[in-house]
Amino acid sequence: MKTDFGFFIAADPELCTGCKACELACFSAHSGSAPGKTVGSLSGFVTPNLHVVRTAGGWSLATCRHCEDAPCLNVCQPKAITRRGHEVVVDPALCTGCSDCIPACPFGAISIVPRRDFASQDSCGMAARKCDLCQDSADGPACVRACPNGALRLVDPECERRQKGVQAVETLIALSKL
Amino acid sequence: MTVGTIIKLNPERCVACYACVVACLDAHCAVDEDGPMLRRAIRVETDQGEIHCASLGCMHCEDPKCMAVCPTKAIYRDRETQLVQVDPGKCIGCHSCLVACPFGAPAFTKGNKMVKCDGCIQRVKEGRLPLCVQTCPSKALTFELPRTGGEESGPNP
Amino acid sequence: MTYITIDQTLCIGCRECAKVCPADAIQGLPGQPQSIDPQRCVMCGQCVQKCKSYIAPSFDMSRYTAIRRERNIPQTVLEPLFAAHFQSQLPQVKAALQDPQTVCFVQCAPSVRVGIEEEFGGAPGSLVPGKLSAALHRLGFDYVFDTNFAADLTVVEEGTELIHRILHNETLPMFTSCCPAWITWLERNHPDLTKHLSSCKSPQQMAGALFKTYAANRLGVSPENVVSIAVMPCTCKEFESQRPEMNVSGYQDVDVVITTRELAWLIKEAGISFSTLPDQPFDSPLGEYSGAGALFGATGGVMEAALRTGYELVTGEKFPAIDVSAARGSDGFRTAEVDVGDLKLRIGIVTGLEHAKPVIQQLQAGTLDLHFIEVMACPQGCISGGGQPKLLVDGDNPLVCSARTASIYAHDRALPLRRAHENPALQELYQQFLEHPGGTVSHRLLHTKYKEP
Repeated sequence: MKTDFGFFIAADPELCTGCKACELACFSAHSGSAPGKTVGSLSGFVTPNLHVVRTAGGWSLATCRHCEDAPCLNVCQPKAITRRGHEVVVDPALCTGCSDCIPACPFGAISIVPRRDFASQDSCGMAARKCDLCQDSADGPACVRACPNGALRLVDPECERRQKGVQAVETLIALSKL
Repeated sequence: MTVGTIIKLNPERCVACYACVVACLDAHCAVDEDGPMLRRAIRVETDQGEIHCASLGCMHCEDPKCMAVCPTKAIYRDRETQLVQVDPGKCIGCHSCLVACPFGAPAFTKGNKMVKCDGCIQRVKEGRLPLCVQTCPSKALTFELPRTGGEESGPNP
Repeated sequence: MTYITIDQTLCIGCRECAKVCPADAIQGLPGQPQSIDPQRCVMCGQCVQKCKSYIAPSFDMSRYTAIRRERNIPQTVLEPLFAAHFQSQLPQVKAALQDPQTVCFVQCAPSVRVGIEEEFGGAPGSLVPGKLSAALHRLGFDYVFDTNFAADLTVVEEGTELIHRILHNETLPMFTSCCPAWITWLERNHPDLTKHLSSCKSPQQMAGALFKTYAANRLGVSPENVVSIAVMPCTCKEFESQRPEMNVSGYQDVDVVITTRELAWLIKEAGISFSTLPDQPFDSPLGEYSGAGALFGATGGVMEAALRTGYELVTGEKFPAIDVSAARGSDGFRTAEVDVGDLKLRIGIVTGLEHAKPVIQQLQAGTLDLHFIEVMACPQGCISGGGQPKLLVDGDNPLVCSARTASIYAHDRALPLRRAHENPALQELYQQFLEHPGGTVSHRLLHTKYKEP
């Protein structure tokens, strides 16, 4: 049975206030080899891998869902986008910056950014970048840590399903006692 | 009291015997596959030592959150039966439905698509009961099509 | 004029700012744009530091440039702009620099030199007094003086005042008066207690008063041509500089204040490569300072500096432990007892204005048994001020603040002179102009009065 379902970051609409601390933390964590820690040290565009968006149901995150049947992966001609374990990954070395993946993603989760922002400083050209679950960091996703309200979580679909099932049962029991 | 629509559950009658789970897997999974379970029997023990059971498939909600959030409109409601279905041709496996569903009904397959309890829609269109309802020995699960009214349950064991 | 405001088009009503506001000045429903009540706001700028709701040029360039222009921020700036913000005073500074009639005197605070290089990608807390002075010279300031000199002066004046109050049983405890947000809060909420404040002006204001008198005189410049500018880690210092009583010399002590961040914008706009600048000293006669003056940026720094001098004034001997570890630390309110000759001096240090509230309650109840209390409104002292480089991620705060504080202490340790009263330029100031601490000239120019009931 398949077990390596895509992990992804989700926001609890009850807790998220749309403050954007997560966006700044994400961008700061992915700013390449010479990041500054201050706002004043930024001189270019701010391109985080996630955005807070207002929906009918409250604040939500526009970010990569590491889809099981990812449209970006399916459309990528140089095969720069692949599945690896619980993740959909973009290999910047193979990416040509053609931008086919951008409209393919229904969440707008992919940005095209200067290669030097995340590859080496002297790289040139543009490449696709999206949420990578902060795989390179021992501390885990920067956005989850930065949220002042604990609204963000890393979702493991199997755990999510299990937890919701238990919670639903408890709710149903409570309802049936009324 | 019962909860849910179409396939309804009376939690007080459920003993988590897994008959519904097995029947469902039997019908929906190939022999060499071991899941995912589209219907789950969940047992919860409270701090006071009370044991509660429930059989959870898809609730086929009147206002399905999964349908509202699906970015490709892969989730739809069958007009005839009102059962909520997913079109694998459109599904991209983005998990949005799982996040939105309060019950955790959506699951994902090695085919990279979302699957969930479909209410045994084929059987229902042929005038038969969903297998879980048919099989449930304690009549915790009953069946009521929105148009017809009147509850039905499986035959006595 | 408004000092700190919340842009109603950018604010999404998360109220993280309200959580850090010590004055309960931020109002609005959750999810709606917030607004600042100017009657309550003490301009500490912690909301500015906290706010995460940003707009970047990449999102909507025309909206971004409109907002940037409204805030008087230079066109070369491309950093994200936030809902909670301060209005930039750069146009006034640039006008002064460009005016051939004016002579521009500038001073910079102890905290600026441990923060500014972060705006150029430098390591948190990097200590760059030499580059700071070099940059200010290259920007066209005629004389680059140092608030740290005035901090030494404040130590001597305030130490003298404290000893006087103790010996003559006058109003105690005495509170420090260099933090304008603290002063504003006390004046508004407890005007009956302002008599506890030291009558000393802040180092910024003392320096400004000297610019237009002593310095102008010595340099042969007419005070009416002097524009007195200050670079501060603080968003309240502009308010302080405009207080109507701050012009006893006949000229406003300080004409305009800009923050550390604004100075970085100015340097970048001028195309100066900050990190490669060669070191340059500050100018005489108000540029030399001791390690004591350098400490003012850290919480407990004013207290430690004052003790090093006060001890010697009282006992005639050097303070045995030059590093006063009792004054250092980051707790909101800490106390210590220091033996100063026969006197057991009881000191307190408050960091973070909300920690002043229980102290005031104790004072009102008559249970506050301390002689001298340092109060800083900002959480880690001035190095964490509203005008300091703003962090992208709150999680970096402890690391960056401790780095800035460590640099302050390292700077002190490395300086040849570590006691304020040993500063030869300060001694010369007394010999030539002030005569003696707490004397007539000092009282006129360097001391002030506060609002009372």
